[in-house]
Amino acid sequence: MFDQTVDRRTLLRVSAASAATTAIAGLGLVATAQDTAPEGAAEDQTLRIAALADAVQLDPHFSYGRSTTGTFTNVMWAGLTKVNADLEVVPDIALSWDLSEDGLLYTFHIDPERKFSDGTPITAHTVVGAWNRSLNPETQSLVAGSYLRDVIGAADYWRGESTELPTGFRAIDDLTLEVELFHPRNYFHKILSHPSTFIINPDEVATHTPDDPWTLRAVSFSGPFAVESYQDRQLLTLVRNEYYPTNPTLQHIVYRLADDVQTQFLLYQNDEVDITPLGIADADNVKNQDPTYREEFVEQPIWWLDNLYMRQELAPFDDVNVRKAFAMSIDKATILTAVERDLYTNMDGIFHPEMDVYESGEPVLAFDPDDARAALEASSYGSADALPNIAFWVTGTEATGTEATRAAAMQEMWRQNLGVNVEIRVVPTYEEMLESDVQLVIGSEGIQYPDGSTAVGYLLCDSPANIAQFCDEDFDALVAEAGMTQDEALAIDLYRQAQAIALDSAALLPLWRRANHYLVKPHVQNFVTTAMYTMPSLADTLYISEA
Amino acid sequence: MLAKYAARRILLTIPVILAVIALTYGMALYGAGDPVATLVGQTEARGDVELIERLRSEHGYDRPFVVQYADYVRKFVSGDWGTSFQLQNQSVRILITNALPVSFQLGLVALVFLVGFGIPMGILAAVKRDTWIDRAIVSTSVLADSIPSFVLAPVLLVILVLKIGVIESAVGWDGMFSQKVLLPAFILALGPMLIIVRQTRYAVGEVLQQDYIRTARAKGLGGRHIVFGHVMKNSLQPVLTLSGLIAAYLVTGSIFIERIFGIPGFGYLVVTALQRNDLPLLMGTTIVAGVIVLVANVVVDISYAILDPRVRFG
Amino acid sequence: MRAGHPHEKTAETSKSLASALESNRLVQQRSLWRDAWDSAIRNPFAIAGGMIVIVFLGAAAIGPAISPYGYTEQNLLNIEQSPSWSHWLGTDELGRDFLSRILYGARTAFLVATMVTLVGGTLGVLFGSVAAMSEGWVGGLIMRLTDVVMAFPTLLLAVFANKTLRPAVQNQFNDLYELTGLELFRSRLLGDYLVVFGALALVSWPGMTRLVRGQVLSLKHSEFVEAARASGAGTLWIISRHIFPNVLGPVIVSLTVGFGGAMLLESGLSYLGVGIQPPGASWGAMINENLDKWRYTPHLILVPGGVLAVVIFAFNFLGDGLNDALNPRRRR
Repeated sequence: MFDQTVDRRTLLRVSAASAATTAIAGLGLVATAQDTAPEGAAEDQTLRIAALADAVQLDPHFSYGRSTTGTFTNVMWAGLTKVNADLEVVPDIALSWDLSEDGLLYTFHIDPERKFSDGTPITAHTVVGAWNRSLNPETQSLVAGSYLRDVIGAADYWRGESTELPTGFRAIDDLTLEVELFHPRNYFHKILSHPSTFIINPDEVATHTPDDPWTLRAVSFSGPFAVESYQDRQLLTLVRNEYYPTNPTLQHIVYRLADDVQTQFLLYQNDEVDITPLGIADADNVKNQDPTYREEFVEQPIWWLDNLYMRQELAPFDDVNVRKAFAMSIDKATILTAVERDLYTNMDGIFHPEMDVYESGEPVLAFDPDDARAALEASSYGSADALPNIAFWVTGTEATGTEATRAAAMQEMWRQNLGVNVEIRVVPTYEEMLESDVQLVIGSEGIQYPDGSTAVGYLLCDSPANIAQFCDEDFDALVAEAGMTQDEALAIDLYRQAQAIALDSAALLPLWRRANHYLVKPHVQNFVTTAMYTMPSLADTLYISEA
Repeated sequence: MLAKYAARRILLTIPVILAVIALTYGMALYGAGDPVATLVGQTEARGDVELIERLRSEHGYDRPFVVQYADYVRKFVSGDWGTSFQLQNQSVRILITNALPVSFQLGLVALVFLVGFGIPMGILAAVKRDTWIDRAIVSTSVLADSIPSFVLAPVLLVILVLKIGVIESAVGWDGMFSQKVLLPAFILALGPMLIIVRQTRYAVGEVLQQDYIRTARAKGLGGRHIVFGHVMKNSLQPVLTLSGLIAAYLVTGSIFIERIFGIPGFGYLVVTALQRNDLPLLMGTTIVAGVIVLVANVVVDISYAILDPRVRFG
Repeated sequence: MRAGHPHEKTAETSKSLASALESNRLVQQRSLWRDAWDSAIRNPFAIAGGMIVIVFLGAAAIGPAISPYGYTEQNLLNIEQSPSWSHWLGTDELGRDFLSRILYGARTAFLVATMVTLVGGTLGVLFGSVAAMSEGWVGGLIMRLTDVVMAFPTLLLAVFANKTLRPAVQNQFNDLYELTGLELFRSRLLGDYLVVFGALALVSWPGMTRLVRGQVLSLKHSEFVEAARASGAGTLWIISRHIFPNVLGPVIVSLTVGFGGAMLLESGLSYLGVGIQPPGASWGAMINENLDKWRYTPHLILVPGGVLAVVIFAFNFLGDGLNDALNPRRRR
């Protein structure tokens, strides 16, 4: 009863799939795993991964966090485009697309061979059905409408302001999908690599009720693997999708679900899993202290930037000199070594090194206590004593751990370098923090798809995520133009100019970017992980070698 | 007479349950944190005030308290306990009905430990009162009660699983009869063990001092006879009181242990609901936990009444 | 002593009977306390417990004053050092001296437990007595209230109450600060303490109420009280002279054991992230902060965990010893 294994159905499906595969293989049309498995591969191609039970989300339209999308959603579901191992956006369900002259009309060509894991074909009609489902207000996806907001009719429908289905996307025939935008977006095809636009089987989802969720009995998966069984909070077992174009070498992926990172590490040490993510303390130990597992250690910097925001509409941070003073009194290098244990890397700008738009150079707000004090003196307050009360936000539910440590370290730095006593205030929710008079906030910014536009979105004047309360007309104009022009080089240049505006006015202090750390057993070959949390080789070249 | 007492006792719980629901709902809605804002705050949509308002309105959280309360009670009684915000929109009722048996089984094994170790130790301590055996037993059980379970559990886990290797795999849940359940159940039993040992020791000690026991002993009647015969019967009562409380504790109090050992039980739901402001789940778990405690109390009271006729007329 | 009307004579007789009984009881009582003391002295565990408690109280009182470093003093170049001569208990993840934090944590633990026990205990005794003495609906109402509160699992209610009270208290503080400008109201630590006290007191008053009510009820129908009643003594007099001293024993035991329970509960709250917030030092919070690295720097949780266990242990033993000593039926 509490074990949500679904055995009989699985049996039927697997036998049907294997019967079909064998038949088609006999015709030499589908390369089976036996053909592609390299020398030395083990009999049983089952990969066991330790994962957080909280991150499991079987419905792509509700996948909100990077660890969820990278670890689970991208393994089970697919969209019109995808992000490959080199962080480029390449075709997936849509093999190609045409763009009209004015940049407003996309025509996507759907892969005619593409099928769900149970053999149901994926057509343009399926895509329309999937997107209508994700945008349906009753579905209550928190983000679907904001990702597709450039499509005519999508946002209104999602917000419940219109009861008509969006007209902005339509299936011309089985293999052709037209999408119409309000304004040109040179990165629109990249948005389609985000899970909120992924393709589910609308007929299957339509049977959902809260007491009988569709996710627990789904058989149509569009990604490289399909769910074979799921025991809530214990075990998630996936089986290879025989219809997926890249023919994964793996047959099964078993996720051992745990409640915290230490338990995951325990599982790894006990040889119960082949791959485990590492928490900070364990990563620090493996990387810096104890060499036992160092051979199996993988460090991957991720597109997750921590920024220090100084909210500009609140005194005293309406004064640019005060902002500069506070920014320049933070010794990032020491925090990175002492608090973050050399596990994260310094960032001086808002773009990540792997992005086209990135450009290295001298940091704008480098650590310099003398300059910091000078800036404070040059400000309208003149000295630390004249400053009003300054509060630093820490969220309520995780007030201990590295976040609090980080805050305490910075608090101390401002005290020592500027003579200012900053109060650390615990405010439980993000919304309350926004409404409060807390001036200093550390925020994390993720990248939703590989494009400069997502790296600057939170600094636009009307962005709800604009914690810094930064608003500059020129900045907005540059970003708008960069998102519309078809000239790539120009777009890059425009984004860089925008960044310069933000940094020169000390709108924020980019701190560092985080990293994911894994331990991978030696018998796992071709393990690849990306800055977007994904593990693309699961879908093709990763295999288990004989122990 | 007994039936009347029982009926009265059961009926009295209804206003209590209603009060519990009202108190919980009030605290959850007005104090502990907005469930919708918390959910939205965890996603890229955070700060989207319009979205939050829309969702709050769809869930009816902007209605007057009394309306919400009445609506909730009505739905609850008819089986609709809402869906969890934080646990992938699963039905709260199904989450709870899946989790309770797990916690129950864990509690059962812990109870076996409790009764199997606690009562004999208490009896032994009473029989050997004021000797070093007595002192050792009492001090060990006090010590066991003093160490927080969330300190003891990870320490034991690493020592027994990794260092000594005595337990192969201790994380996860394979049902009541697998070896995985031993360590968590044992740690769970440590807390109440002190109470059982103490109470048994006291009750048995009391009985042993009674004159008629002394007389019987003086007359040379066999020791063991006396212990098992009279003592067990008379010491049953206080132990019974506690078993009611303990049963309730075992189901609802295993928060830390379930978390550390990855057991998908009731305690885990409680923690999630509390920490992440998941209002429907919080309501469901609190009410169920409260009902369990109340039922346990009623059962204990009624057994008291069976054992001691004076109570029925009280 | 006036001769006269029959009912006066009855009253006289009752009064002298009452005072005779009372002086007899007072003699018994005095010897009860003395016997209790004698018995407690002979119980080595109670003694040990008592001594540890004294050490703990001393640490709480003067510890932070004599500690070598400030408990918030960071040294980012010196993090997570093992015990050494300059730092007897090593340093934590921000380079703060661990011994200083432990000493400060003793103060936190003491303050929390004391406040909770006092408030919970006082409320409990008050409500319990009222509930027992009242003849009308008041007693029933109080007992139903205890039922409601006791229906919640303890930890759940404590966390819940904590989360509910926190924003209320913080808003109040902000308002008070605006109003008065007193630095006091900017202190988040004070707010934390109040919230934790409130939550834990809420959780502990019903238990004490039940205990006291039970005790008072059984005494209410005893000889002394009947006699005193018959001689026209007022309720308050009865409570203070007859009932209170006899209830004191079990109440003291309960308070002592409750002290340890309050500390354990507070550490549980901190473990779940809702207790005293950093940089305030609480043993439970220190355990929580360091749980994920205990394999590498075990002293960071073994020390607060150990100290917590020892102090709770001491209170439990003290309470046990007192229970044995004060319980008249146990006398051999």
